[in-house]
Amino acid sequence: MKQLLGNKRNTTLNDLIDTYYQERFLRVLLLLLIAVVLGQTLYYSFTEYFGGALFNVWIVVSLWVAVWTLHKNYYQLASSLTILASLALLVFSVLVSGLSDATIFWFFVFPVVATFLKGKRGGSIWLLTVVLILVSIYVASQTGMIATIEIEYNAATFQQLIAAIFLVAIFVYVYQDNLDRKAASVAEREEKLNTIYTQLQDEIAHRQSVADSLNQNVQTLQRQKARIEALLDSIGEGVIAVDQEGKIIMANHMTKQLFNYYEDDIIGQYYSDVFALYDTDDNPVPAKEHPLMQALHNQTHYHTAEYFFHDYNDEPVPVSTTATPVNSEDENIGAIEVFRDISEERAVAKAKDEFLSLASHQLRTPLGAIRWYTERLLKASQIKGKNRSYLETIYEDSARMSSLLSDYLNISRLELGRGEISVSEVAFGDVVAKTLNDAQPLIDEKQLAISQNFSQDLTLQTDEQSLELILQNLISNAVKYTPERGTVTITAGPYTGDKKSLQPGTVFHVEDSGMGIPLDQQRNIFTKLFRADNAQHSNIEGTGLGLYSVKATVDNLGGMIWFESQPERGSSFAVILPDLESGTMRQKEN
Amino acid sequence: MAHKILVVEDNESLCNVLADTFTDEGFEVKTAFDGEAGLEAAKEWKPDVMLLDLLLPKKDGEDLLKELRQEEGGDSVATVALTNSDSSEKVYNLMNLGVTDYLTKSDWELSDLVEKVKEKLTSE
Repeated sequence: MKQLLGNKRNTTLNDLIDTYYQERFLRVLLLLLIAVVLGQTLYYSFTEYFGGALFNVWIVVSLWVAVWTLHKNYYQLASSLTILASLALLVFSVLVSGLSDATIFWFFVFPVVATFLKGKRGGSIWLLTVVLILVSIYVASQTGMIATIEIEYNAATFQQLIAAIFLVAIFVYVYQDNLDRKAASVAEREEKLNTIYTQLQDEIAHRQSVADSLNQNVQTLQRQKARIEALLDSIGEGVIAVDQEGKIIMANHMTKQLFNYYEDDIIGQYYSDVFALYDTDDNPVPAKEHPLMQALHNQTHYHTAEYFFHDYNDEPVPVSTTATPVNSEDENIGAIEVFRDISEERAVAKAKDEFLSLASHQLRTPLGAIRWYTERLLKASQIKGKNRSYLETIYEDSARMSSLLSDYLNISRLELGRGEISVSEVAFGDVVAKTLNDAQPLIDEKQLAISQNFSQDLTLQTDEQSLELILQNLISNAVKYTPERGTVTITAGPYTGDKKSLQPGTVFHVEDSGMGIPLDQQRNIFTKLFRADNAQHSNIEGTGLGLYSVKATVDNLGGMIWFESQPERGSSFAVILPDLESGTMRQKEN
Repeated sequence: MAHKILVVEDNESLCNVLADTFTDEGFEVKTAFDGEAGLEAAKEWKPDVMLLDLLLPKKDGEDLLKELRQEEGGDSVATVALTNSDSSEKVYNLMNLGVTDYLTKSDWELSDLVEKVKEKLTSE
């Protein structure tokens, strides 16, 4: 503020003529002066004082010039020259005709005019100059260099005294006016500045508060961000988020730890460039089929699936993953994926399966002995009545136990990735006949109609044991769950294959008119140990291993299984088995 | 003349029940409880058919068979392999060694087994 107010400057004519009022005042003043001078000129004309008259004419002309130059840009120069010339003329007349009361009066006109034209400082300099000239003249007259002053008191003296008082009054007025004006102007400016200052203060305070609140917001956001990051980092599962383009925007600590990445390695990179996925059979998964990409592009929640992700060092890491699209205000902004390392689970499952496999195997020997001894006892004709039926029960139960063990063994082998197959040409009809033969007692009992719609020449290039297991389970299920006098239809024919996934082979259906599978439970039908409610309540024995085992076997053969079922109407299971190359193949261990 | 059958099975219970069954069916039966004894019996006694467990002490069934096949007259012994495990790889190897039947012990009834053996003898 002090600096702003400290920039003072002198008020000059520049300022005075700023307003119409000032200009008019000046003109009136100058006209008054002209009138006075004209009156004096007339007086001098009558007294035949020629030099005085000439001087006055000069004054009048120069004042007119001054009035005229007021409107012009070069009035400064013109007025200075006028004053200087007037002064020179006056000094000259004093040197010629001596100092008189009239000349003294005119000397004092200059400071007044200068004050008008140049401001206070100009006026003061002229006053000083005039006083110095007068002192010089006075000293010169005292030493006899020029004539001494002789002041005569007459009408002209009086007239000039009035004019001098008038001029001094004007001087004082203008000087005071300047000061007032200046003071007013300064006050006004100060007030203005004060207002601006207050406004600025307010503005600064406002901005400060805005800045403070912004700062606070930033801090809050940073805190929240840190908190969210801490949360994400403490999750024991990997979390990865991508934007709409599939570029990684976030990866939590666990992700980096799982796959040996540093954040900088992967942030901003395309997900599909960073992660190589392999399915559980070690086949590479194309980028567009990655769960996260599916979630991103199809906008569907991708259910948990197991994959092998190759880490930074290209080591496979088994993970269970779930991917979900991320939407904000109805707009997709990316997708998020949650991983879980399932190495340990797999190890536990493997150990469990190995145990199961071993135990099943060890159980088979004594079980076989029981069956065979019982079989021999039943051959003995002397065992009769209740004892025979006891033996029969032992025999049947041991047979069931044996088939249960076979199921377990088969499943655990498939689960362990040891689903070995031996491919040969298998006659479909033979396997069906064998299976139907096993089920014949129950078919007869229920008076079921068996319809076989396939060519007896139909052969498959597959593993006979596996096909037997599949047909045996499907047909025995159809027979078990179809009520009396129902029908079981077996249809089969060549399958031409589809270009994308399945090779040509054979497709077959096993259809029944049984109780069907409740709609809400259909999705679990291939789950291990699952049995539909209606099956459980039906008193029909089952283990919940059959269809699981069938599915695993079909998968192992590179085939496909699906079904259609309507409660109370029946079910139809369809299987496609591709023709495989002859010889033994061993599925790769996971 | 009765057919000669050699039962090579380390489990005594199973071995006995098999021996009794085939004896009842009119076979001449010998038993061996380990691989080495089995190989010796097969070489000296020259059975018509051999029931061979694959998991045996001292020498397993597959090795026994390999050595027997190299003996003079050893390839004439019809062999039915018995096992509790059912590895396809093993089956494939055994087939190359002239084993045409491969049975999982607990899944078969004795009568079926007898039939299988008889079938084998008549087909040769």
